Amino acid sequence: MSDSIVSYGLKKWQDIRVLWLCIVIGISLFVSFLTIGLQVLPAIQSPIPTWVKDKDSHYLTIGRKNSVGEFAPISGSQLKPLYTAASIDAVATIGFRTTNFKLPTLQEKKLEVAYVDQNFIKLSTLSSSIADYDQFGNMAYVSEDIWLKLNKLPATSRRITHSNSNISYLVIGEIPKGLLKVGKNYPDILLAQSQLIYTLPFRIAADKSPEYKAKFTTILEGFPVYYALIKSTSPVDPSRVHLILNDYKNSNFKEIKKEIWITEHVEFSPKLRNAINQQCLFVLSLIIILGFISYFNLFGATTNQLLNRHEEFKIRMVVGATKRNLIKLCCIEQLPMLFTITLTSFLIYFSLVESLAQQATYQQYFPYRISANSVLWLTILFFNLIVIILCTVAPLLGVRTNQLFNRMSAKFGNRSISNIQNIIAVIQISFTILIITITINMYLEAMKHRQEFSFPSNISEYSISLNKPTSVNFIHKLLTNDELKKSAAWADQPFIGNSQLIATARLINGSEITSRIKFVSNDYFSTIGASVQYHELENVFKGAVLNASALRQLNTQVNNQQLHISTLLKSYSLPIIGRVQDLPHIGNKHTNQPVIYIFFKQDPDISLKNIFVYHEEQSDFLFKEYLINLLDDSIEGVKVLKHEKVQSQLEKRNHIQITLLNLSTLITAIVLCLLSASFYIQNNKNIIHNKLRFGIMRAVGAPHSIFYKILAKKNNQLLVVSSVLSLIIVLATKSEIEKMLESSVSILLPFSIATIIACFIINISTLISTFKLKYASVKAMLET
Amino acid sequence: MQSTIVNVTNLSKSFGKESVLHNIDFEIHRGDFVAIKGPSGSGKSTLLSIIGLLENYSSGKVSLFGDDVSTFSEQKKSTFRNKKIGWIFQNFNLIGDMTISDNITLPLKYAKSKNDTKIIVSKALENVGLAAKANSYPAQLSGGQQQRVAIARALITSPDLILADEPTGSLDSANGEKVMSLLRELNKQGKTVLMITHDDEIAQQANRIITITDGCVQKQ
Repeated sequence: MSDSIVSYGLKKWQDIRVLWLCIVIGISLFVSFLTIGLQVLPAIQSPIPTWVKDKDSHYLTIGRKNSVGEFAPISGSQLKPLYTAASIDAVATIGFRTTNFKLPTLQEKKLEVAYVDQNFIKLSTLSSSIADYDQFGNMAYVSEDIWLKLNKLPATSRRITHSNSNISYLVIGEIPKGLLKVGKNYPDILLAQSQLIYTLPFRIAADKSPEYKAKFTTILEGFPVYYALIKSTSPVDPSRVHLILNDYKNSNFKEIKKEIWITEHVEFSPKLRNAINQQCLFVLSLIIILGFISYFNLFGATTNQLLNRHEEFKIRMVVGATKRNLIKLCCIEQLPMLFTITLTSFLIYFSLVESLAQQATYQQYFPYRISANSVLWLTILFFNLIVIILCTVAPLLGVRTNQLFNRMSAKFGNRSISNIQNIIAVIQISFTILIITITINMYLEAMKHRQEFSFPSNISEYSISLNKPTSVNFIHKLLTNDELKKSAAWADQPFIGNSQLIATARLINGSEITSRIKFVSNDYFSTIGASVQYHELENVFKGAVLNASALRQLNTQVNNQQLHISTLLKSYSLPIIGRVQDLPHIGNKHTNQPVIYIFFKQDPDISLKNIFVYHEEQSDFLFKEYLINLLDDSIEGVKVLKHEKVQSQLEKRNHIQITLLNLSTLITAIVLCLLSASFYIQNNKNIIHNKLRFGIMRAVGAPHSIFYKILAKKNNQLLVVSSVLSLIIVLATKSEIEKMLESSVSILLPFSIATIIACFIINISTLISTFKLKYASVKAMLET
Repeated sequence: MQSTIVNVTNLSKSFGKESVLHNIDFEIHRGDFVAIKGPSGSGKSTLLSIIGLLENYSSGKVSLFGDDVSTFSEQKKSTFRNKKIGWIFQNFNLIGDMTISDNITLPLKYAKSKNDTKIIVSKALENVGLAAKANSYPAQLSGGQQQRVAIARALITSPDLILADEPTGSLDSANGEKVMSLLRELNKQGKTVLMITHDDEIAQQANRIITITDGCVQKQ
């Protein structure tokens, strides 16, 4: 290599290689994440699809609720009910068909589950590979390995035949004992297999073999009575019905439980979904900023390169090159970059982005999703097209820009070009500082969450915690003094203010009521058998709900000593929304709002110690969302409810936050690299423009450090302006960041750190740029 | 009768309000070795750029090989520069990040030559005495060597007209003489050479001298 090359080192590829690398990564990230963004955005903008019942026509209509709560039906989405299991008291099960929402068959490894009652309908998907939860929080498994035998079809089972077809629907009601099977060894069920519609839960009886018990109590412990609705093309012999369970042998049930619960609750929780989506959007915004910086740098680098190569193009034209030749040359030169961007985009997408997306909640919005691969291809094509266009117009643009710069120089002096470059640099630095500030804030916030929500190694710890009396604080938070007074009056207990909580607990778990319950329980024990009853009663937990009338009935029956455990169980097992006016002894100032009573798992003797009352504003809501809102509430007493489900949910959210955080950090790092590279190039440009001046300075004996001082002074002046601008941007976006992070944001420390980092980066890149001058040939500089 | 290769009639050129060339008239015939002489800023390089199709003119007429260049499209200008004209610059104008061999190949590439370019290039390098430097970069050669590379590049497509813009301006006398002998040799081979210089001694080596002062032809 010649002395001049070594000494000056300002060859185009040497100079822009680092920048080029940053640009490739930046654009690739941009393209990859924009792919996700394009998928996420429609989902985020669309309200949660809700299914409501059309009261007049008895048809179901799928629609969405807008921001003011009005229902907007989706065109052509009326669903014909095929059957209803009206005999099941509280929850009617409706299967339906629609052209819009096809019910997948088992071949597709999916099942549709529909729930409906007077207030809500929910459609969810059961996968054959994993278990799913129903609205009770119960789990259903659909797979091929484990078979549960049905000994006896319960009396509540019945078959409903649809009038317009020969398809039979078997409704299996409460199964107090025994196991349900739907198996491939039964020909008539084989068809049913492909047309299965389950409305679960079902229950595993406790009197099975110890092996079954040991295995399934792990999974299905505590689940109340299940119902199954099976569609078949031929009459089904109930004794030959199998429910196929998952291959539990190879599964980590704790993990499955956790995962399923997350799927069901985190992803279906609007609050959590919004939080996560907000963060996804935020990262997307960062990516877009990064992308624009990358494209901006690409544009700058290309133009700069072309300006530097102006002489070369001139020579080429002298020897006969046409403009087309030059365009072709530029395009061909960009091909490796396009190829690399495409390849890197795919790599990033499939390694990082897709794995992140799998955790993202938009995945559930199937109707709104665009095919990820199509979006990826389109995005890549689109942005590569931009690169191609840029390269195509670049030769002309380069000449035009040169002419423009020359004209500007002639009119306003060289200062004008320098000012434009300065403005661009200020914008870049400002955004960099903003991004770093936000990332530091996110980091601090995520660390807080990480400490708060760590998933326990032993889930049972949380079961134990359920029995802690702290839950009464929760009641206290929800019940007004008036309500407590009424409760006390109802229980014939004196009202003693805050300590009423204990009184309430005593009331429900106290001797009088307990004895009544015990009386009933004993009665039931004598009827059914202690072991089974114990199990069933134990299963009355996690979302077992009693409505107002049921509670009143319970109250009456308890009072009259007529309460039968089957009534109780049925009530327990079904979520019913009652209204306050039905329950005058408790009352509520929001008289038109529904009240839900949840009995949580307690002692074997059905202690009603923890009654949770929740006031829901909306009359029609999804029970699960309600439950999650309840569990996710930040009031003190709810901590008791943070059993493994909540923990896993938070862990999941925490995990997503950490992932997003890491991603943001990565983006910040890339932005910093881009900034460094930009300044490196910027400094080199300055050196080239001042080559003669610097050469003369060196010829007359200027020390090397003077060049650093000259450039550093200029760059740090830009930094000062940028910092002020950044501070304005940071302050302006503070409220948005706080909203996104759901906490108050400290500005001073992150902003200071970000500014220091930017300062460091700028000065280091300046130092590196000027270092070359030390070894530059003065002669070469003077020969400019 | 000798055929006219360059015919300049009443040529004027101005940059904005500033007039650079005024009513230039001259002819250059095939086989001529013409030197354009004049002080700095007299418009010599502008005139050569117009003849070499690098610059447009304001008024008058310029014909190359009998064709009026005002009718030339950009494509045709490129073709002319590629096949009919060979340019030699004072500062050589070699592309720094291409090897000598690549620099010389460049015109052939745009001429879409189907011949074996390697052979042509190596022959051209031999002609200028730089066969051993084929894989070197311009910065690794001396000024005289670079100018010889530039001459090799100018001749690679066998153009009829050689335009040399102060070809010895950046060279010492020894190297300058070598370049001039190359140009004389080319002229003897039938190439038409149009050279700019402000050096009387160099100009004297041409068959004809055109003197330009303040944008006007003083004498031919």
